[in-house]
Amino acid sequence: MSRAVASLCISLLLTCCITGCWDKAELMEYGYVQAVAIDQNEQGNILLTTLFYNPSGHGESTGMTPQPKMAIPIHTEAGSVYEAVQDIPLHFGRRAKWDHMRIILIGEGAARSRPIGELLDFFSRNHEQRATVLLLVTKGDAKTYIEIHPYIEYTIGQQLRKIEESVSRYSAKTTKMPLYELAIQLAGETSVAMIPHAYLSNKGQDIVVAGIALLHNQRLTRNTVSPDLTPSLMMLLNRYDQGVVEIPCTASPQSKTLTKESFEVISAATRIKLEVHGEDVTAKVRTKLKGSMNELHCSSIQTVEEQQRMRTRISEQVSKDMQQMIVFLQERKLDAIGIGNKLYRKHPALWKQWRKDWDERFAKMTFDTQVEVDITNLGLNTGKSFGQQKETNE
Amino acid sequence: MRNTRHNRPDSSASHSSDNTHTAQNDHCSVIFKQLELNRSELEQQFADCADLVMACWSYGPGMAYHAMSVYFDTMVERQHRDEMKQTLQDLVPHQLGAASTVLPEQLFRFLGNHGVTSKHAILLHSLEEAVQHITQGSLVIFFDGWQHAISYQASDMMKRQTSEPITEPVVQGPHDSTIEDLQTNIGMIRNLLRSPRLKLVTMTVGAESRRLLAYAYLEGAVNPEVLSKFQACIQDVEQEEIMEISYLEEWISESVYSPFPQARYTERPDTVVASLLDGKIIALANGSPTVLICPGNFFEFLTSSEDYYQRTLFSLLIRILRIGAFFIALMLPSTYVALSTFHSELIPTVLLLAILDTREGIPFPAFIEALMMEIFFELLREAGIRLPRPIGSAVSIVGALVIGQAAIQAKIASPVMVIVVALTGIASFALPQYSMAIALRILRFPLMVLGATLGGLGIMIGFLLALLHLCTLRSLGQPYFAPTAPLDIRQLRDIAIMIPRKLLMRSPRNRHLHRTGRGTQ
Repeated sequence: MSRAVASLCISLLLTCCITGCWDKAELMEYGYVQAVAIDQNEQGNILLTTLFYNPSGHGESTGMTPQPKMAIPIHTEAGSVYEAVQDIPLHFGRRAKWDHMRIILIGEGAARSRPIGELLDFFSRNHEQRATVLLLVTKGDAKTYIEIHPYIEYTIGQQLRKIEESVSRYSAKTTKMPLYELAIQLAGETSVAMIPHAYLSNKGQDIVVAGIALLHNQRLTRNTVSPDLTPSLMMLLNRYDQGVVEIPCTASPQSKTLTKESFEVISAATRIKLEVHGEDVTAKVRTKLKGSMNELHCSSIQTVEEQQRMRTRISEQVSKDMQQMIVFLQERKLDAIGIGNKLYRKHPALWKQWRKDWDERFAKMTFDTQVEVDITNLGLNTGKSFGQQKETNE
Repeated sequence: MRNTRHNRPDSSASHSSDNTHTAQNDHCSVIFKQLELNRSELEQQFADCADLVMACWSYGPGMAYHAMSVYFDTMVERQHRDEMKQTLQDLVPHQLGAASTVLPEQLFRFLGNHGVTSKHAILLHSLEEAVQHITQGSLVIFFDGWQHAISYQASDMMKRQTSEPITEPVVQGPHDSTIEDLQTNIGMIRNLLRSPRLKLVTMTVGAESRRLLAYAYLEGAVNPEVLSKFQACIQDVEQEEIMEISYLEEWISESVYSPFPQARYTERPDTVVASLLDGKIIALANGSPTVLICPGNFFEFLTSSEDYYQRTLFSLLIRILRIGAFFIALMLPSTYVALSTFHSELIPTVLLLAILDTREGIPFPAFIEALMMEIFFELLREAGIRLPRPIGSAVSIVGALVIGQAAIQAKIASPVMVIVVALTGIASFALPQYSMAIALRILRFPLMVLGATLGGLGIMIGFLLALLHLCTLRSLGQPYFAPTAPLDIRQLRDIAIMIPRKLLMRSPRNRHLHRTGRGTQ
C-alpha cells in the first residue's frame, strides 16, 4: 500500500516537470477579440482597430436606458501589427485573446500599399489565432466597418462572418476565404489571390459583402470582380455551391422592362481539362448544373421539347457569363482561375519555360465552355407561369 | 465466570478434576443436579439483568418436585412462557400418567429418550449452552435432580414486514425486499432458488453479540478458487463484533483504501438469486437487511436488476445513458474548470460569449467557484440524508437557494456553474448503485484539482491513474475491471450493450457453462 501511495505521489510530482503552456488564466483576465480591422494612416503606420466583446454589454435594458455597447473597439497605432497589438492593454487593460476572432478586415489602402503577407504574418504566426478566421477587403477604411452596429448577432465580427459564409454558400456572389486558404493561394504558381470584398450602402449604415477583390503579387489590384460576375468565377473555380442563374426573356415589344426567369442551382461541378498544342493552350471547361426553376415568366415547361429549350437557354446563358468573366480576367492578365497551377502540376517542364510570360500567354489562351443543365424540379406550379391562362388551342 | 466453577460441589459431574475442567474450556461445564446451584450460577452470570425471569414451579405427586424456567422477559413471546407446564400437563397424562403423579425419573427418561416431540425444543447438556440459549431468546427449563435442561425457541423479536426495496426501487419486477431477520431472508432466497445445490453456511460471530452470519453459494456455479479465498478471508471474522454485513467487505477486499466498492449490496431477493446463478457468493447477517454480493465487478455497479426486466432495446439505451452519466458525474466539473481556465479556444464561440456574460463579475476563479459549489452540494446531500424527515424539507428549500438563483444573483456563482453542479448531481443519482456514486464523489475532487492545475492534460493523467488502478484491482482474486481488462469480447455483451435475454442466457448465466466449470464472472 505504502509503495503504491509513494509511486502515486512521485508520479504526480513528476507531472510538474512535463511541458505545459502555463497559460492558466481565468476567462475574465482576457478580452475576447471578435474582429480586427487593419488600416494604414497617412504616415504609413499600421492602424489596428480591435473589436472586443463586452460581456456585461447586454443586461436587461429597459426602454428608458440606452442599450449598452455589446462590443468595444480599441484603436492602436504602430509601425507593425504586433506592436499595435502590444499596445492594446494600454487602452483596454485586458490582454487580447485571439482564438475566438471571427474575421479580419483589411482596408483597401493598407492592402494596396503593403504586401498582404506583411499584414497577416502576425495572425498566422500566433498560436492562439485560428487559421480558419475569415478575411475581407473593405472599400475604404476598415475601421468604419467595425464600428457599425450588428443587426442580430452579438458583434459585427460575427455578422460579417455569417454574411460571408451564407453568401458564398447560397448565392455564390462572393467566396469564403479563410486565412489558410489565402496562404495556399499565395503559395501557388500564378501569384494571384482573391479575398471577398465588402462595401457600405444605405448611407454607410449597412455592410454588403459581395464581389471579390483580386490580389497580384501580394498586393491588392484595382480590379474587383463585381457581384454579378462572381458566380461565373466561382463556377470556373469549382467553388460554386448554390446560386441563381437569371435568364432574360426575349424582349417583347409590349414590355419596357426586361423580365428574367430564374433557375436555382442546387449543385454544380466544373472540370477544366487543359490541352496543350505547341504554343497554344486550350482549356476545356465542362460544367454540370443541377437545379430547379424558381421563376417562370415567358415560357412554359410542359413538354420534353420545352424542357430541352429551357435547358439550352440556361446553358447558353451560363456559358456567356463565363466567357464574359474569362474576358475580364484575360484583359487584366490575371490568372485567377488557376490555369497556371494546373499547368505546373501536369506539365512541369513546360511551366518552367512559360512561367515568366505566363500572364501574356494566359491573356491569349482559348477557353471552350460547355454547360450541361439538369432541371430536376419545377416547383408547385407545374411548368407554367403564375396566373397564366390555360392554353385553349389544344 | 470461569472461577465460579471451582466451588462446584456436584460429584457426578466432577469425576474429572477441576484443573482439567478449566483447561478444557467452559463448554463442558455440566448442569448441576441441584436446582439451587443452577439458580445461583445463573444469577451470578446474569447479575444486574433486570429483565431475566427465573420462575420456579412444582409438579409431581404432592407438588414435591421442582423445576425452573429461565428466560428473558423482553425476548420471549408471552404465550410461550407457560408452554412447558402446558406440555407437561398435556403430554404427560397420555404417556406417563397424570401430572400430579409423574416422577422425575420417568419424566427425564421420557425427555431424554424421545426428546421433545412438539415445538422446537433442544436438550441441553451444559450451562454454557443454557446461557447461550437464554440470550438468544429461548426459554430454558431446569429440573431438580436432572443433569440436563430443555430449551424452547420462544423468541418473539419484533421484526419489520417485508416491504418495497427502499434503495433499489423498480417499476417492473418483484417488489420484495429483505429485512433485518436472517431466517426470513434466507427463506426468501430459498423460495426463489429451490435447488439442493444452494449451499448455506452459518456461523456465529462476536464474543458478545453472538450474531448469526450466513453465506451462501450455488454449487457448480461458484468458482471453487473464489470460494476457498472467501472462506479464508472470513476465517478470523468470528472474533469480531459485526454490526452490519458491510463490515465484511473490509475483510474480503484486497484494497481497503480503493475508492471503488469491491462488494455489491442489495436488498432485492431477485438480485441475490441472479448473482448466485452467476456464481457469486452472498453473505447475510442477522439484523442487517442488506445482502453482500462478492466478488465485485466494476460493471455490475452500473447495472440494475430492472435492466433484465425491461425490453432489451430500452435496457440497451438505458445502459448507454448510464455510461454517459458515469462520465458526467466523474468529469464534468473538472472538464469545465479545465476548459475555462486553459482551453477557452475549445468552447464554441457563441457558447463562450454566453459563458463570458455570466462569468463577468464573479469574484472567484473558476476552480474555487466549482469547488465551492460542489462542497455546497455535498453538504446539502449529507444534510438531506442525516436529517430527521420532518426537517428534511427545510433542507431542500434552503438548498435550492444556495445552489440556485440566489447564489447567481448574489454573484457568488455563475449560472453555468450551477448547471454543471446540478448536472453532476443528477448524473450521480442516475447510477443505480449508491456505492459507485460515492466512489465518483470521491474521485471528482482530485480530478478537479488536476484539471485546474494542468488543464486537459491533468484530467487525462487523473483518468489514466484511475484506469490503471481499476485494471489492477482484484476482488477475491478475480479481476475487477473484467471483461474489459482482461478483455473478453464474448462477455462484453452484458456490459456496455445488452443483447436479448434469450441469447444472453446462453452465456454468462448459462448453466451449461457453469457445469463444465468455466467462467464465473
